[in-house]
Amino acid sequence: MTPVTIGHMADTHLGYRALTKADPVTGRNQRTVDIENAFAWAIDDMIERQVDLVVHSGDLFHHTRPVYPAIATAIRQFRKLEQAGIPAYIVAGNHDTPRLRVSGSVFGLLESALPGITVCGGYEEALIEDERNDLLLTLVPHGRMTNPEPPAVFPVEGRRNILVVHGLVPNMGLPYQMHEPGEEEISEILLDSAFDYIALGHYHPFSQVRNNAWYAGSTERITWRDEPIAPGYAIATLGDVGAPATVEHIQNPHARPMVTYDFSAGMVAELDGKAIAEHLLQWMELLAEPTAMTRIVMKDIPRPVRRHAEALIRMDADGLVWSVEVTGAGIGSSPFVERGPGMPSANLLELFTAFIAEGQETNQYDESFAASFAEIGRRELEQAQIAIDALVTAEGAE
Amino acid sequence: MTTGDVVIDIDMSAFRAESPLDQPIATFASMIDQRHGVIGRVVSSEKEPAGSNVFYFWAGEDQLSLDIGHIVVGFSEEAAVIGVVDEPRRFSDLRSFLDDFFDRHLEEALDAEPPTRRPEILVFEVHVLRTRHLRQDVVSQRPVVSGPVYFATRQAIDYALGVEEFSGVPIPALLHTNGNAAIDEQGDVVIDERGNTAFQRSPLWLDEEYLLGPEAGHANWTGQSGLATKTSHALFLTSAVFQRMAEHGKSVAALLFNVKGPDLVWLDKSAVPPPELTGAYRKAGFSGLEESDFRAYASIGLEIEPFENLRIFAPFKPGQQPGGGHQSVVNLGSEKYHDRLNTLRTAIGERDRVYPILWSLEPLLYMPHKVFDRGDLDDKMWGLIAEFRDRQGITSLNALSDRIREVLAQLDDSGGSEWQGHHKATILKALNRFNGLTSKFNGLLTDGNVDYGNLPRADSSFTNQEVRVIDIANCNSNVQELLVTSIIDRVWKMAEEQNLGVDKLIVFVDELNKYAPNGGEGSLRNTLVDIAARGRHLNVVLFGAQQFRSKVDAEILGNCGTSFYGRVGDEEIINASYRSLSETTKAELLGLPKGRLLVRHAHFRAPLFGAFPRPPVIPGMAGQRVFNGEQDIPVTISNPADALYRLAKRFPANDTPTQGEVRTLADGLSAESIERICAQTEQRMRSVEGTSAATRVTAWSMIQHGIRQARDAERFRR
Repeated sequence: MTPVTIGHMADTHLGYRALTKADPVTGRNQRTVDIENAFAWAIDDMIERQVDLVVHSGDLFHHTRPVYPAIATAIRQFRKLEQAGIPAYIVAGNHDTPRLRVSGSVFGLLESALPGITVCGGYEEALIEDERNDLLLTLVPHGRMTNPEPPAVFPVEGRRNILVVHGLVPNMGLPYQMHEPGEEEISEILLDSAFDYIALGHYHPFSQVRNNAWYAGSTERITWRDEPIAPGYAIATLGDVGAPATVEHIQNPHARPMVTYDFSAGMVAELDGKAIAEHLLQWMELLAEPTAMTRIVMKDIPRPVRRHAEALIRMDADGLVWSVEVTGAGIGSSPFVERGPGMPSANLLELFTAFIAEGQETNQYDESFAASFAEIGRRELEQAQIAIDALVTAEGAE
Repeated sequence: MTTGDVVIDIDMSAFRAESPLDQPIATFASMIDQRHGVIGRVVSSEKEPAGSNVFYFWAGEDQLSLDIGHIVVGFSEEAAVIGVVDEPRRFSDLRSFLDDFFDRHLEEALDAEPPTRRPEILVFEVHVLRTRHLRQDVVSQRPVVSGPVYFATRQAIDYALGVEEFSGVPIPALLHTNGNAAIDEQGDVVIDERGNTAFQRSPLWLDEEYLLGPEAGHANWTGQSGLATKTSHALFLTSAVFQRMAEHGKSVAALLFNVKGPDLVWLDKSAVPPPELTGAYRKAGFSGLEESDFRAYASIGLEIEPFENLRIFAPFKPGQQPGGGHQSVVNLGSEKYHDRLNTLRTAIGERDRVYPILWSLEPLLYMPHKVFDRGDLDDKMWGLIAEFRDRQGITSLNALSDRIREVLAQLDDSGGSEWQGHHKATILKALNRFNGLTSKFNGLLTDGNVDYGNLPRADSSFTNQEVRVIDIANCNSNVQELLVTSIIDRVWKMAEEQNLGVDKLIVFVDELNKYAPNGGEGSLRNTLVDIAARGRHLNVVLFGAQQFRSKVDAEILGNCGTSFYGRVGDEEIINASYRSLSETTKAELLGLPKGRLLVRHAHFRAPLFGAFPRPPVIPGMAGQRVFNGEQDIPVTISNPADALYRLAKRFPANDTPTQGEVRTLADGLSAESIERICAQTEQRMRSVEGTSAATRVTAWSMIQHGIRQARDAERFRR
C-alpha cells in the first residue's frame, strides 16, 4: 500500500483578537494578524512538503460568527490547497459550532466557496472515502458530540481508517481543568484502536494521547496556558493497514513568544514601585525577546505598589518586549481560568449543575423539568460565555 | 350380617371402644393420607422404646412402596408426630440363624419352599421432624403411642419443614418423593407417562433468611466429582432463589468462578431447546429436559428460565494482553479484545457478554505474598516494594522498570551501593523478579496502567438478577488463585461498604477444600472464614462445594446453615464431619444416584433426601457444541443481531423492540459491526446511567443509529 502523508492541523482560531497592538502595515489587531500568519504559514509549509491530504480537527475560527477578514483568510488559504490539488477535510470545533442549531454556520459558506474542500460542521458524523489516497475518513464535528446519542464510528476492516474529531480525550492527566464553553469529552469508544490515525483538536500542545491518537496542537499561542507550547502542526505518515503511524511535529518558527515572570517581594531590597520597575525592566533587557508577550505576576504585592510599578514599566518597556501585562497572583488573562484542585469552583456550568441537583434532591423539580431546565440553562450559559469571550478580546484590542 | 332375607346394617363404629387417638386423627385429617390408609402401627418395646426423636413402627405387608426417606405421621395422645423413615429391619421369631439352618437342612431341600411361612415383620425406625399439638400454643415433645401410622400429606411435610414459621421467602431446594400416590386437583390418582401410579412429591423448602441471611446463611455441597450433581444443584438452587426473590421484589445476584472447561459459560442458554435448535441440541448430545423434569418444575412452582443477565469476565490469553504503549496506559474501552480473551465462549454473536480483566502492577504491589515466592520475600524485599508503592507512586511495570533503571544508573554514576536505604543487590533482585511477573501472570498483567473507561468490571457493583462468571478455566494456577482471592476480597469490601448494588449476593466457590483447607492459612481462607462468620449480616452468602467435606475449614462448615450431601466415598464418610448422620443415611450416601441429595437445613430436625430436576440451563459442554460451533455443528446457529436485542432489553425503555424487529433491521450486517454497535451502545448507556442524559437517549435509539452508520461503513468493505 502506498504510504500517505497527512498534514494535520487544528485550533487555528482565525478571528481571535487581543491586546491593544495594531499591525504596523495593515493597522489591524496584531494578534489577529499573528493568528492569520500562523495559519498561512502552516498551509504554505504543507504544500511545500507535498502532503497528500490535509485534515483540520476543529476550531478553525475563534467565534461561531467570525468577522469577514477571518472568513476571507480561511477561503484564501484553503484555495491554495485546492489549487495544489491537495484534498482537505475540516471538522468544526466548539468555537466554530453555533449553540442554536437553527442559526446556521459559517461552514455552510465555506462549503459553497471551497468545492474542493470537505467541511463537516453540522450535527452528524460523516464517513468519506478518499479514493486517491486509499483512505476512509470518519469526520465527527463538535455539534455531533452534543447530541444525546453519541456518534457511532465504524472503522472498516482492511482499509486505512482515519478519525477526525474535536474534544478532550478522557484521563489525559492534565494539571488543570480546561472548562472551555461547550467543551465535550470524547468517549473512549470513539478512540477505537482499529483507527490507523486519530486526528484530534482542542488541546493546544502537540501531543500523543493514545497509541494511534495525536493532538496537532494550535498553530499559534492563544491564551497564557499556551505559553510553554511549541505551536505548529503535525505530519502523519501512514503505511499499510494497521501499521503504526509515524508522526512528526512541525513547529511554527514565527510564533509569538510568551514569557511569564513570577515576581515576589524578596527580589528587591525595597518594596516600592520604582525599585520593582527597575528590577523588571532589567529582566526584560536580559530576556532579549522584543517580540514576546510578557506577563508579570506579582505575588503578595500591595495593589498601590503594583499599580505604581506597572505604570513605570509601561512607560519604558517599549522596544524591550512586545507587550506587557501585570497581574496579581493567580489571575489569568483568559476568561477560562485555570484552577488548582484546592480552589473552589467558579465554573458557572458546574454551579448551575449543582443548583439543579439540589433542586431535584429537595423535590423542587421533577425529572423532566430538571432535564429541560438543565439543557436550556447550559445553552444560555455557553452563549453568555462566548459573548464574554468576544467582549474581552474586543476590549483588549481597542 | 345376613339372616335369612333380612339384611341388617350395623354401624360397627358404635360398638368400637373409643380410641384415645380418635380426636388427634380427626383433627389432623389433612396431614395424613387417609385415602392410602394406614401403613403400619407404632411399636415400642423394652429395648427400643419410642422417644421424642425416634420411634418405630411395623409396616403392613402390602405397603411395598414404603421405604427409607419417606415422611410418615404417627400420633401421641394429643399430637401428630411427623418423622422421616430411616433404617428398616425385618424381624422373625427365630432365636438364631442356626435354627433356620437346622430346620431346612434336616427337612427340606435348599430350593424348596417350607410348607408354612415363618412370620416376619418389617420395622422402620423414624426420626421425628416435628410434632403438632392439638393446641397451637403447646409445643409437644411427647413420644408416639401405639397406634396407626400414615403417609404424610404435602401439608404435613410443609409443617414438618417449619414453612409456616419461615420468616423469609420459602425457596424450594429439592423435591421429596413419598410412598403414597399423588392426587390431582380433581381428586384423582395421577398416572405417569409409563402408566404407573405417580408418587406424591413435595418441595423441600428452605427459609431465605436462613439460607441468605440474616438469621443463618450459606450453603455447602459435598460429594464425589464427576456426577454433575453439586454444580447442577447449585445452579438449580440459584435459579430458585432468583425466581423467588424476584416474586417478592428483592434483588439478588450471584458471582461464580468457572474453573473447568465451558461448565459455566452458557448459563444464559435454556435447557429447553427452542424449536429451531432441537436438532442441534440433540446432535450435541443433550436432548433437553425430560418429562419428569418438567413435572418436577411444575410441582415446585418454578419456571425453566436461564440466567438472562449473564456477564462473563476473562483475562486475556497468555501473551495476548495489550501492552501499555504510549503513555503506558491501556484504554480497554477502545480496544478490540474479544478475539484475545481466554474463554471458550468465542462465537461471534455470543461473545458480547464477555468482558476483559486486565491488571496493572498496582494491585499486585499490595499483595506481594501472592506474587512472589516466600523465599524471595524477605524484609528487604518487602521494604523495597513498599518504597516503590508508597513513596515513589509506582503503578505500572513500565514505570517500575524505568525507575529501577534510573536508580541503578544513579548508583553507577555515584559509585554508591544504597538508594533510600535499599542495597543495590536488593534492587537488582527486585528488577529480576518483577521482570518475571508478566509471564507468571500471563494474560492478566500488562506492563502499563489500565483504564477500563465505561466497560463493566469484574469487581464492580452488581445488578439485580445478574450472574457474573469469572472464567479462569484456562488460566494458569497463579492467575486463577490471584483472581479468586482478589475478586472475593473486593466483593467483601464492597459488602462492608454496603455497595453491593443488590439485597443479597451469592458467591459460589467450587473446590472449597483448595481455597479454605481445614487447618490451612492464607488471605483467601481468612476472607472466606470471615464471609462465613459475618457475611449473612452483610448480605453476602457463600455457596461452597467440595469433594471432601472433611478437608474444609471447620469454621466455614460450622457457620453453614444448609448442607447438601451427594454420593460420598467410603474413605471420606468415616470422617468426623459425617458423625451426626445415621448409619443408614451414611449407607445411602455411599450409593446415592445422580440427581439425588441429602439436605440439612436450620429448620429441619433430621436430614432429608430429595431429588432435583436438571438445571434450567444447557450443560456447559453441550452449550459449547451448540452455540460455539464446536464439532460439526455450524457456528452460524446464533443470530448475531440477538446480541443487540439482549442489549436493548438490558436497558428497558418505552421503545424496547421485539427480537424480530432487531433481526430485521440488522439483517445482513457483519458480526463485527454488530459487536461494535453493542460495545458503543453499552459503554454510552453506562456512562449516562443516573444522569439527566439518560432520559434523552435509549439503547434502542442508539442501536438504530449504529446500524445506519454501520451500513454506511460496510459500503466501503472490500
